[in-house]
Parts: sequence; C-alpha cells; structure tokens
Amino acid sequence: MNNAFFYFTKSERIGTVVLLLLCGALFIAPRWLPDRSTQPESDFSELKAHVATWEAETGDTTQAHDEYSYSAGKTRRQATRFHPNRATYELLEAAGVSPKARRSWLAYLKKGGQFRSWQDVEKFRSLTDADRTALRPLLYFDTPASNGAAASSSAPRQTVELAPFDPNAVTAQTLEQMGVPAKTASNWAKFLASGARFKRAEDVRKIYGMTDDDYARIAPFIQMGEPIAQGAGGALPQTYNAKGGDVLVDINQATAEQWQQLRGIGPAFSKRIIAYREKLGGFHRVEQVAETYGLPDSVFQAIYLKLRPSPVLRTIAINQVSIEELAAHPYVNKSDAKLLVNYRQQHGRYTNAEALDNLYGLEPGFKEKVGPYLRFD
Amino acid sequence: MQPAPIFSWRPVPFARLFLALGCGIFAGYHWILPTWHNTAWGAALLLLLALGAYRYTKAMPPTLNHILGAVLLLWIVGLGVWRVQAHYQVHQRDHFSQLPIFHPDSTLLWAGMVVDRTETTERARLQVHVYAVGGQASAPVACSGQLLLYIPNDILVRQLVPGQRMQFVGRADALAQPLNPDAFDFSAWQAQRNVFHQVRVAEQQWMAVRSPFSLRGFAWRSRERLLDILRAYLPVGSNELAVAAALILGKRDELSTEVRNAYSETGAVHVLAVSGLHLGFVAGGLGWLLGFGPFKRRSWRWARLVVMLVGIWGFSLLTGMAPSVLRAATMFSFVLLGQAIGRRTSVYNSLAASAFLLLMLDPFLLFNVGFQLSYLALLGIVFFQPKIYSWFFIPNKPLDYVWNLTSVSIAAQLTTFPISLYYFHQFPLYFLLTGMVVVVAASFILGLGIGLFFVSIWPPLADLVGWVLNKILWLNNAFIFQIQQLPGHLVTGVWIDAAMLAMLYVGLLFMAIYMVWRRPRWLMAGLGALACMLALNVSQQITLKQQRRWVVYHQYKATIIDAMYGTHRYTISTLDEDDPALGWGITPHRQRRSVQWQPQSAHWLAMGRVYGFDNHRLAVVDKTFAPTSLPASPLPVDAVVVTGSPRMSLADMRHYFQTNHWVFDGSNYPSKVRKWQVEADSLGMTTHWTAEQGAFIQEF
Repeated sequence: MNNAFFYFTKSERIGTVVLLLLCGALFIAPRWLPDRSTQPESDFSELKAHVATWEAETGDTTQAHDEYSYSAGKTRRQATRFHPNRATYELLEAAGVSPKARRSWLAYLKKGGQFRSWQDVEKFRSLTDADRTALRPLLYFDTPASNGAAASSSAPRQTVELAPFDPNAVTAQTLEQMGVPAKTASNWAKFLASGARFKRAEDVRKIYGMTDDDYARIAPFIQMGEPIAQGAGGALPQTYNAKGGDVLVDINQATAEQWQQLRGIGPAFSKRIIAYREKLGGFHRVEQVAETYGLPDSVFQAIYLKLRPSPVLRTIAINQVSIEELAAHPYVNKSDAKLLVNYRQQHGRYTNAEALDNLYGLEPGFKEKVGPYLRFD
Repeated sequence: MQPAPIFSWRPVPFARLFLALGCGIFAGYHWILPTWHNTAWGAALLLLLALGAYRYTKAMPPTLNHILGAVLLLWIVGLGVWRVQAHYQVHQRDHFSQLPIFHPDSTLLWAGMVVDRTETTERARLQVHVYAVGGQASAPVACSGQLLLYIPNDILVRQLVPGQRMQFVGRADALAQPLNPDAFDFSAWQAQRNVFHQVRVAEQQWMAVRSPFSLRGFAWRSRERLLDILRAYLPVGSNELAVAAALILGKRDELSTEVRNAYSETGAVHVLAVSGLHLGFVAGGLGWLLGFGPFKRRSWRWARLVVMLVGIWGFSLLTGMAPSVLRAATMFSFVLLGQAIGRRTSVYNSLAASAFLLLMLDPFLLFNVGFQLSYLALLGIVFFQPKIYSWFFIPNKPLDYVWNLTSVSIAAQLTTFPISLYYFHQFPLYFLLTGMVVVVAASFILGLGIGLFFVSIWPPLADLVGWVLNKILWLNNAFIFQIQQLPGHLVTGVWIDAAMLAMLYVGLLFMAIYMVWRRPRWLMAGLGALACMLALNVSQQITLKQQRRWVVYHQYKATIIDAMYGTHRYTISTLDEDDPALGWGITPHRQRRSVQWQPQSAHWLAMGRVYGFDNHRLAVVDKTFAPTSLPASPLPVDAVVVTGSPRMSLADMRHYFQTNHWVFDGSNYPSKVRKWQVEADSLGMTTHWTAEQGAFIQEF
C-alpha cells in the first residue's frame, strides 16, 4: 500500500469531512422534523353538540363496530378458568389464543358446535400446540371424569391393547390404542401416506418421536407383511400388466365389466362400488370411490389415475324432499335430515348451497360434502 | 503520486454490449412502444453494414471508426427494445386474448401444457402454456400465451407435473391489480413471467392428455425421486426435511411460515433457493476433487471444464430445472469457460456475456429480483471481496479462513443491500454471523445430501449419512431460530423509492472507482451521492410527518379504516392488529406512510357511529344502525362508510347523513352493493366501491 493513497490535500480533507458531517446530519435529521401529531388537541366541541342532537333525534345510540372492540393496544386481561362452550372473545384472548383461532372457536360455537371433553379441544384444528398448552389448565368440562389433564395423561394408557399388526398397513388410531403417543402415531401415518414402506421391523424406530420404550413394547407384535416387490414390473403377475393398460373408467357411467378391467377390482368390488354409487347418486370426486366398503387403499392408489370424474347422476331437490328420502342418502343422517327439512318449513326455500351456512348444528364440511348432491329448484 | 490505472473497455467487450442491451430493454419496457422504431432500427442496421463493409475494404479514419461504434451500440439498444416487445406475449397477434373467439366472460375449452406448479393442501396453482383454444360450438384455434390455472387439489392433480399436457374448460379472467395502495402486486409479478390471465376450474372440468417426452417433466420426476430418498432418511413432516428439500432440491412448498420468516429475517434465505451458491459448491467441489495428481496439470484443464459443466448441468437437470437454477448454471458455465480460456478474459466479461445471453432469451429477466440479486451479489464478490479481504492480513490459517468468508458476506451485502431494501424493506443486522455459519452449514448439507443420493443404494451407510445430515440441519435451524430471538435482529419498514435506489448505486459506483483510482474526489463524489440520497429521504419525511389522510382499505369480509395524522394512526377495524390477513394488503401502506398505531388521540374522537378526525367527520353505517325516528336535518359529514351490508336503502340513509362521499367496503355482499349502485345512479349520487375502485383515500 503506497502513501499516496492516504495523502489528501487540505481542501480534499475539508471536503470529505464536511460531506461526512452532512451525511450524519441528514441521517439523524428526520428525528427532529416537526410532527403534526404533536400539535395541540383538535376542537371537537361543535361535533359533539351536533352528534348529541342528532342522536337524540334519531334515537340511534349504538356504537358502530362495538362488537369488535379493537384489541391491539389493550392490556391483556388476567386469564381465568372457563367452560369451552361458554367462551367469549375476551376469555380466549386472555388465555393467549391467537386471533384466528379465537374467531374460528366462536364461529364453531355459533354454528352449534360443542366441546364435550379435552379430546374435542385437541381435535380443534385452528389451535396451535402453544394454544393448547395455554388452554389446558384453564378449561373445565361438564363431567368431571373427562377433565382435560386427566383425560390426556392417563386415559389412553389405560386402554392399551396390543395385538399383532403389519407396520405397513396400520392406522394412527390402532397405534394410539397400542399406547404409541398421538404425535408419533401421526408421524407413522404420514410416513405411510407418503408412499414409503418399512423394509424391516427395526426400521420402525426411525419414526420421528418413537422412543426406545415404546419400540420395546410394540416390537414383539410387529409382523412384517409380504416383502414389497423390488424393482419394476418383473415381480408383478403378468396378468395385471396385461389387464387394463390403457383403460379409462368414468366413475359414474362405468359398468361392472368396465370396473373389472382395473387391476384389483373383481366381481365383488365392482358390485359394491356400483351399489354405493347408486346410493350416493353418483360420485362427485374420484376420492369418493375409496369410501366403498372394504376397498383397500392400496387398490385405490393403484387405480385412481385411471378414473375420470363426471357429473353426478342424481341430485336431490332439497326444497321438495321429505325427511326419509333425504336421510336415505349415505352422507345425511336422520338428525341432519330433520334439521334441514324443519328449517325449510320454518324459513322457506333454500336458494343456494350458501343457505346451508345459516343452519346451526351441521357438521363442518357438510355443505362441501353434500352440496354437490342438492339442487335448489 | 502513483499514476491511476487507465480504464479500458478492451478486456470486457461484452460489458458495453450488455449495458446497451439493458438500456434498450429498460426503454422498451417503460417508454417506447410506437412502430417507427422498426424503421429506424432497420436503417441503423443498413448503416452498420455499410460502415462495416467500408471498414474492411479501406482503412478507416478514427472519426468514422467512432461512428461505427456508436451505430453498433445504438443498434444493440434497438435490439433490446425489439426483444422486449417481441417477448411481450399479450400483444402478439396469436395470443389467445387477441383472438376473436376470446371474450372476458366466455367459457372456453383450452388445451395446454403445464410448465410450473405450486400447491397447498387445498388447491394447486399451475402455470399452463396454452396452445389451442376453442368455443363451446366452434372448432379449436391454435394460439399462444400462458395462464394460471387454479385447481382444487385432489388425488388426480398429482399427475399434472410440468411437461404434462391437459385440456380444461373455464373462463379466463385478467389478473387483477391490487386494490390497496402499496400492496403486493401479484399481477405485475406474474406479468414478468408473461402471465396475464387466470382460470379457476372445478374437479370435473379438466383432463390430462397423453404427452410426448419432455425434459422438464423428466427433471421434475427426477426431483420427486430424490425427494423420496430424503423423505426416507429424514423425519417426515419435520423442519429438517423441509429445509433439506429446499436447500438441496429447491422445493420450497413444504417450508412452514415460521421457518421461512426465520430465514428471511436473519438474512439467510438465499440458501433456501437453489441458486448460484449451490452451483458454486457443486462446481467448486468437483474442481477440488479434480485438483489432485495428474488432473492438476494445465493440459487437463479442458477435461476439468467438461466435468464441471456436466456436473452443473446434470445437477440442474436432476433438481427440477427451475428457472433460477438454469440462470445460475448459464452464469457459471460462462465463468468457468472464461477461466479455462485463460487469463486474457476477465470474469466481468464472462458475467456480462452470460447476462447478455439470458436477456436475449428472456428480456423480462432484467426486472426479476432473483436475476438482479444474483448478478449484483456476484459482482460484489468479484470486485469488492479481494479489496475488503486485503484490509487485514491474518497469519493464523483458520482465522484467515473466517475473515475470507466474512469479506465475502460483506462484499455481497454491499452490492445487494440497496435493492433488497427497495424490494423487501428490511435489513437483517446479523447477516455477518448468519451468512458465515449458514454458508458453511449449507456446504455440508449440500455435500451430505448429494452423498446420500449416491449411497442410498446401500442402506446401512445411508442411515449413517442421513443421521448426520439430520443433526446438521437441526443445528442449522436451531442457530437461525436463536438469531431470530436476539433483540434488534431486523430493521424493518425501510422504504426507499427508485430515485433513492439510483442514488445509492451511484454512490457505490463512485466508491468503487475511488477504490481503483484512489483519487479523493471520487470519494467525495460517492459521499455526495449518499448525501443526496439522505436529503431525498429527509424531504420525504417532511411530507410524511405533516400528512393528514384517511384510507378505507379493501379487505374481503372485513372493515379497516385508517386515519393518519403525522406519525400517528387511529384505526377502526374488525380485524386484530396482528391478524395475518393484513400482511399483504394493509401493512405495506402503513409502513410506507411510517405511522404507528395509537389507542387514543387528541385529534380523533369516536362518538357512536360518527368519528371526528381533526376538522373532518366520518360516519360508519353497519347492521347495528337502527334509528327510531327521522332527524330534523341530516348530519353533515365528509364521508359515509357503509359496512357489513346493512338492510337499508341509500335513499333512507340519505335522511340521516348528508355527504358527497358514499363508500362501500369489502365487508358488504357484492349483490347488495350492485343494488345500491343502481339506486345511486337514479338518485344522482356518486359512490365508491373499494372492490372496484380500490381503497378510498382522502388527503386534506
């Protein structure tokens, strides 16, 4: 490094320092700029008088947006114990529940939803784990037996039932019954759902959250199924490859013979699928085929790409139907049917699917599930 | 004094061409759209050819030589203008929106090919390249253009990977501009990808059709296969897996919002997208492997180059061929090629050449944040890093390595911070710390990840590699989350405009010149530019601190009204201050106006449904408005905001309030507002609906 680099003439030195000072001054200047918000109070006396007479004349003294008092700056209230079915916005807020979860909680209650035990709170999807931890000591339920803390810590352990099972075909519920913690069981289910399979019984230990204790307890009951065919089609029976290479099956129009073109579907399943389709009035989505009684998920996974959706075969005239006719649909139980028909008799015709939102007591998702089978003429 | 080195364009021929092309693209994109330039451009081409011919037949006098150069540069500028206009698909004659069959309201039958997909659990968003469109009765017509397709995500959607052809029935709507001021402009962002329309279809309104082999589809499927390997050896559903998928394979769908925020707030988000950094590791790793024994010899350099190029392009292909990866691969190919050719080509020339090629292929890239960030970062590293590194000499080897990494971080941040402030309005203060740790961790993660793909054929070893990889990922995430917990980790809400951005880069350029030529006047010029930028900021702050305005935002199914007074903000809202729905549409404007929320104020008075804001009055009519009798005279107010679909006609409301501004916001049913609009027309009242005209802003 040569000295010329550091050699500044006097004017250069002065210029640089002045510019540096200027930059510094400009950088902090915004802090000292006059701010309108510091100006003295505005004069509202005229407005106050005006509004007072107006309110007296019209008789309207309600506060706009009273129900949503703006909460960001308010000091948080002390959290108190409360019944989940009698929760209010403030109680939930005090418990530290997030705004989104608060609103869905209240919407759930408004629609007739009930929390019967801690399990119902566990199942409430809008809550985060942090919310649940905060809520656990604050909630109480109608029956003392199903009180939150007790239910979650001891109940599942008491009903541990161990039985031989195939780790590649087990459900989360079965695992929980066997005493595997819910979180781990759900990881297990996710692992299977992703299409991955265990090759050896020891692989089960790799499931995230699986403790050595849990593994030691269930290990004797693990029974590996048939080893999965390795590699490509070589291991598969030739008939399956020959069968149904290019067929596409219309889920609503296909006959039993057409269904049987698909691998894994024989006379019995084709009959069952068609019977279920008749009961439903046609499939709205491809996934509904998987609801057919007894149809293994593995078969569905193998065939779904060959299925084509089409419009449903039959819809129900919701404005004419009787309770019995409505309840005959697999997705509608008797009490829902009663509710729907009674509501129609009291409030008049349904105009569209959105009108179902006005009914309290329907399961969440009912509209989406049943809506495609309704018509509103 | 040492004589200053003289700057010459000679070693960097492409830099001039790149600058000219960039200017042309910029001009074509922002200003010039008439047709006369075609003639001018053609004339310039003729002149260019004539001068060129003259040059080669006779010795040319220097003046004419300069004219030849000038014409050449102007011609390249014209090339840029032409490229950007030819690339603008929506103006092409065969774009579907230009066809007679296309009406904004008509439902059409489309045929196209998927080019990109992003998905959530509820729906998938596909970018579709359309090649034919037909009416319900008419025959399909060949066309060009792209659109976004929204499909409910069910099991069948899984087959729609890039390269798959499909047909669907639907109505194409133009992508809407944002309704709130300063909100994120999705339509502009998509316009850069040549997408201007969207279609929403139901489950039964599409089908996949047989597709020929496509490289893109192959790349996508190969990435899915590699993802399956990661899924098998890392815990499913964990942050570790999500980060590994993003870092190694560029698949960001699975990252949770917390992880994403943590990485972007700590300045480490660049490692989560496969980019130049990753390809740099791949190339560097291969170069290091080939740096031993016989390969070291100079005669092997071409073989080394081929191996590295195959490595880079193979990696891009197997990891899904995302546009950002292809860009980075092109950039690196040019740089590596330049190195192999020898010392006579400078790395700046390689960079300019790759940028020139990329811009010729897709001129909109010039406005792409990723493109800008990667080139600026690389420029910073190439130019500033050696200079910063030479500030200190550290004899200790490990410490020297740390300082080397730090200088890379500083150099990259120096050239990219103005632009990231401009786009993202935030600056991570601990970037030095995170940058260093994350880059080291990323190199291990990438190396182990690629290693895992190779050893996955032998499970015992793969188990071990997977275990180590998982631990490193966990450590890395834990580190990022720890940094995020530190106080003051992030400066947020910094808004600089285009003029200030330009000033910052001018200042930076002068500083760079000062570092090379070492003349103090360049230092002063740099400081002067900085002072100009700060002065611009002060003038902006003066207006902001004197502002008096209120805004009725558009928010679906909610009411949000801000009154801004100096640096204070008073708010009427049906949503909480921390509601996530505010993030895209509302918060940007609040930050832009640099206002802080105040619960109470001397300039704001709430009286029932009437609000006083300094000398302005605002009335809010909602469902609870239930007057029992008529007032003697309507209350004069400056605006009435109608919210939550009250059951009242405008004629009735007029009996209670007298105003020139009737505002309907997003909390009303659209059908109800349309009735009011018809009524207003017959009554001769002017109304404002935020869903159509955007947020209602009044300044006084």
